[in-house]
Amino acid sequence: MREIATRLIRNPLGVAGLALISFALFLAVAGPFLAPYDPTQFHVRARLQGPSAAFWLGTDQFGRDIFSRILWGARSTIVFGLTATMLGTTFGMCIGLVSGYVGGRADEIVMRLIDAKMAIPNLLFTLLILTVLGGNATNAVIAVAIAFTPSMARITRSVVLSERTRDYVNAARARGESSAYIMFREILPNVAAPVIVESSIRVAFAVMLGATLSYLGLGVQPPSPDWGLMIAEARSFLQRSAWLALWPGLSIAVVAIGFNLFGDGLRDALNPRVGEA
Amino acid sequence: MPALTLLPRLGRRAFLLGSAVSAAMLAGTPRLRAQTPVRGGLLRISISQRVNTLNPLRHSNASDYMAGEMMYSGLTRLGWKMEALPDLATRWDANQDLTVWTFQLRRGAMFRGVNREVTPRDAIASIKAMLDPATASPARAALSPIKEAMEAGPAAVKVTLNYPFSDLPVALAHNDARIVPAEILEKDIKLLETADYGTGPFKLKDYEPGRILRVERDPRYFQAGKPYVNAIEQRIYPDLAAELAALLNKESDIMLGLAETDFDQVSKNPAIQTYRVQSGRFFNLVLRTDQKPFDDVRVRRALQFSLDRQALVDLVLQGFGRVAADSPISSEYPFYRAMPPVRQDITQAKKLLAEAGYPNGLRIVLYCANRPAARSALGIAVKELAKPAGFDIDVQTIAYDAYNVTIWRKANFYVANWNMQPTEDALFGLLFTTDAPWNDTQWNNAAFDDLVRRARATRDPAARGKLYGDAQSLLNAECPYIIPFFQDILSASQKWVVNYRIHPRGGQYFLEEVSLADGGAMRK
Amino acid sequence: MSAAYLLKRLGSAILILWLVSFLVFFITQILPGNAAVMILGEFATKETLLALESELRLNDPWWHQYLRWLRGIVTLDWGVSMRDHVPVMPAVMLAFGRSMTLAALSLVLVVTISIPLGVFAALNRGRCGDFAVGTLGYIGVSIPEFVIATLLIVALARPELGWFPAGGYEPVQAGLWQWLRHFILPVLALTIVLIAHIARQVRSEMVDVLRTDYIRTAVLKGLKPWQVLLHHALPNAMLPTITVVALDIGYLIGGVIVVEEVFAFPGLGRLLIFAVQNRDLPMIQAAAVVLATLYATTSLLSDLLYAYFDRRIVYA
Repeated sequence: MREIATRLIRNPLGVAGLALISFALFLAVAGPFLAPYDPTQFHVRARLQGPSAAFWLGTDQFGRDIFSRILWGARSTIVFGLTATMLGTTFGMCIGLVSGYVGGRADEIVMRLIDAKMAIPNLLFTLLILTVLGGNATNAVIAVAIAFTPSMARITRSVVLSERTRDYVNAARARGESSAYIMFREILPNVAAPVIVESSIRVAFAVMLGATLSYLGLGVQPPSPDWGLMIAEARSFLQRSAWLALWPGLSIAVVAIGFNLFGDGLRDALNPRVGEA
Repeated sequence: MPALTLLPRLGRRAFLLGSAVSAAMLAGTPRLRAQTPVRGGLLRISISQRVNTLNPLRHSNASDYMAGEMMYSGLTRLGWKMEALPDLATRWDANQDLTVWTFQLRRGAMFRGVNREVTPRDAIASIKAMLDPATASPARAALSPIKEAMEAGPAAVKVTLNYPFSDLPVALAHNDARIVPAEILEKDIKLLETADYGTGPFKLKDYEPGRILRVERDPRYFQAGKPYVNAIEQRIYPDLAAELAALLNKESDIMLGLAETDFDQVSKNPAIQTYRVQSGRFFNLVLRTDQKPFDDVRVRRALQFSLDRQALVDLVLQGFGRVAADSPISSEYPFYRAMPPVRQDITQAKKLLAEAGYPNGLRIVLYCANRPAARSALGIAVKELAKPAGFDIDVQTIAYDAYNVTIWRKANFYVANWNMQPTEDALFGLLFTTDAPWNDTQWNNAAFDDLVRRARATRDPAARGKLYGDAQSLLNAECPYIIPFFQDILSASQKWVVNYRIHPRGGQYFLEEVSLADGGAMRK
Repeated sequence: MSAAYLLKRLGSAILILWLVSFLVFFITQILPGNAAVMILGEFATKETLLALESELRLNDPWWHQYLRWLRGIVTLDWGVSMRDHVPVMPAVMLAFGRSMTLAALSLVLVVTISIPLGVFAALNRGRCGDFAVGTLGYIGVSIPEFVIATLLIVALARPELGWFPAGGYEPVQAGLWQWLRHFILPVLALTIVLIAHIARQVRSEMVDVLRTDYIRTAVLKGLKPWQVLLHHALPNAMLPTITVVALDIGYLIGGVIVVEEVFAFPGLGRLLIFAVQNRDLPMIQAAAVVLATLYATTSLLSDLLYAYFDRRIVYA
């Protein structure tokens, strides 16, 4: 573990990613305290203004301070990305673990279902799920988590298949341990590494997918400060006030770049050969 | 009451006098441009909603109304000042207590499809069909005073009412009160969904549902010389951005509905004429008066006082509207009474809330459908503006269909919006009276019901104005709805479109008056 | 590549499609509200609602509706849109054609730009050029399509510039330039993301290939660097790249949906979102199945291509 951390810190990509993520996390935690205004507060006489001393990044069509909304939006974005990924990873890991360990018919059926899901692009899939559940932040998290589940299950399963026949598993079975024990206590720790790498890259996807869903009106609902939603709300005012879309767009990009870099850095740290490339 | 100086208007008096005005009214509206209209050409109109049905008795949106008006005629027609204009009926008359009305029919108006002249039998059968619940005609509520219609001579129809009703000619100008051939109604009413049996200025040429409706000039139309254009195409663009692009590319001549956010930009285009007309179209916060917390008038009034209405007009409509005072009657209605403006008064609002038992404020959920977009914008703005007064409003935006199923007429606090109606009576009878079909506040105020009932039976405009004025004051004082503003109607056309006008009711177009000047892309 | 493999792969593709059809139908079946409510809105009366519901056959049991629908899909009778009353098949096909044009233009642009870019980065590994490509790559893959599309509108489609329309579509009949003008910004928005993605992939494959003994031998044989690159390194790096491109089709499909929405481009993505907003079940189902079929077909093709090339390489 220590070795991996050292390798990660030596990797410039990982460090850059870590720095960006730390900054975003800092904003997510401290942003609401730093924000000069309430993110939903109107300034009726200061609508659609450009950046100024009073409003550092300008105001939107309701006269809300964009800087404050960006700061608050960091929290919603980070929380969204992390929870959706964690949920998806947990679901996927459980399914992959059980399916791979039990094998046989059940495994076959699960795999076909997973194939079917993988034949539907993620955006399309979440779109359909959200039309069923109704669009709001919680449901968007669930939809993204469900969308991520199959690929996590597949990765877990492939590791489980190779671990299943190892000596330590056979030994545990000979000791008379229960299947649940073998799966979750013996095999699970060996699955962790590839799953962690995959899910750290997934966070970036989750952030972007979440923003896209909010943009389409199926995620976070107004008046909550959310970056994707801010761009959607800016649509009618783009010709007058381009910065309305610019700031949240940059913010999404920065967070996604952070998680992408971090994920790649982590993968390289865990897999030195690729790291050299 | 100062508002009464607005009365009487020519149109109102015209129908009460009932005679000899047809020639003058037939000429329609004052010409906007003095030159004689040029004939010919194809007029392309972009609309955002699809035509639901061709059945003229069952139209329900602006696109339907336009189709109905192009192909069909009613007994009367709604004029620019909300008065009844002659259509298939040329004159009308009522007995002293307004319970029996006689309509003289136009001679020589020809039905398409069955190819014969309109007779009293057709008018009677059509009215009967509109009143039949099986037809599901939205005109039914407006015509509910009618007991029966019968023949009164070779070209006259006598309509007997259940109770005195002075607005009958205007009620008969309802967009769904069209006259269709009696034998078609007898044979199968579904025939109306696929073909054109109208007497209107245009005949159906082509109909691709969801895409395009094309009509052509009917030379036999009873207003000699009209219409001016050879054909009209109604093209559907479900997407506002694409619709605007089509106008700017000169692919359409008229864009029926323009968004507030596009208006200024489009107005700068030298080739485009934009139109802005004040209307009685309004947005409202529905307060269920039979449920907590809005069963207490003090809570409703507290909300009334907590809003800065001009700010709402600016925030939600980008300024394209006028503040209202919780009465749905705008100055476009003949019996409008000017209300004292409701000013924002946070202290008063707080005081009322405390008196009602909410000294520490009130938490409540406000539901908004996700379209039209102005609904959720209004919700957000209300949440913010009402906050200082102690309203802690949680705005929930939900899909339009879920809204229709679970919120509308069920929740105790939500945003709705309504078009202007032809008369005060039609509006009150639709939303406010105890027996109104869409009485969604359950306000059920006996005094209000009584005012509306008495106004129906009153012939004298001044007396009616007083009754309707009192009804409006009652709405203002009791506020079952918070109506913060009236929304202007915005539209746009190419500059070469002549005499295109916007009706404040939003369902009348008078397209037979429109012509295309030289330079029009599809002149020919 | 044996016939058995082909059959097996084809069979599983069909099974997947059937499951997709079921998933899509199942998801759309439990949507709250229904098309009749959506069409009639607040002006519905109980009578009109009932009439329209029975007209649309919304009250049949779900498996009736599923079987009827499945039969329709197979026999190419895709039903009639509930909202617009137009037959679904021509509407979907028209939109699909436009989306395919959009996707194809993007793909061509992506491949012609990203492969040289990736090769360039690999040849300059560790140097400035590599770093620049890498950085641009990270930025590219980290900005969602809708953000890029919106920024493109802000930057290049301002009315006072008059360069590009902010959205919409023109048929070819309106003139080639008019037609193309409406494609430029959506194609740009789609390509920026994909170029970043594929260039990164090409680079890493090339780096691997350049390290192999096979290339070293070629260099030692005294071949010119461009000969080594063109005849030895690139063909070997192409194989994984094809797979990546094929996998990116799914990415592209998602991108197309969003980009069409931003640019009001009347393709399949926009049709789908519009149908979703209006609970137009036949339209949602058809559009989703078409997209899934497209995706499944491309991944099938990439598998087959892979198997084909793989054999050649093994025996080369």
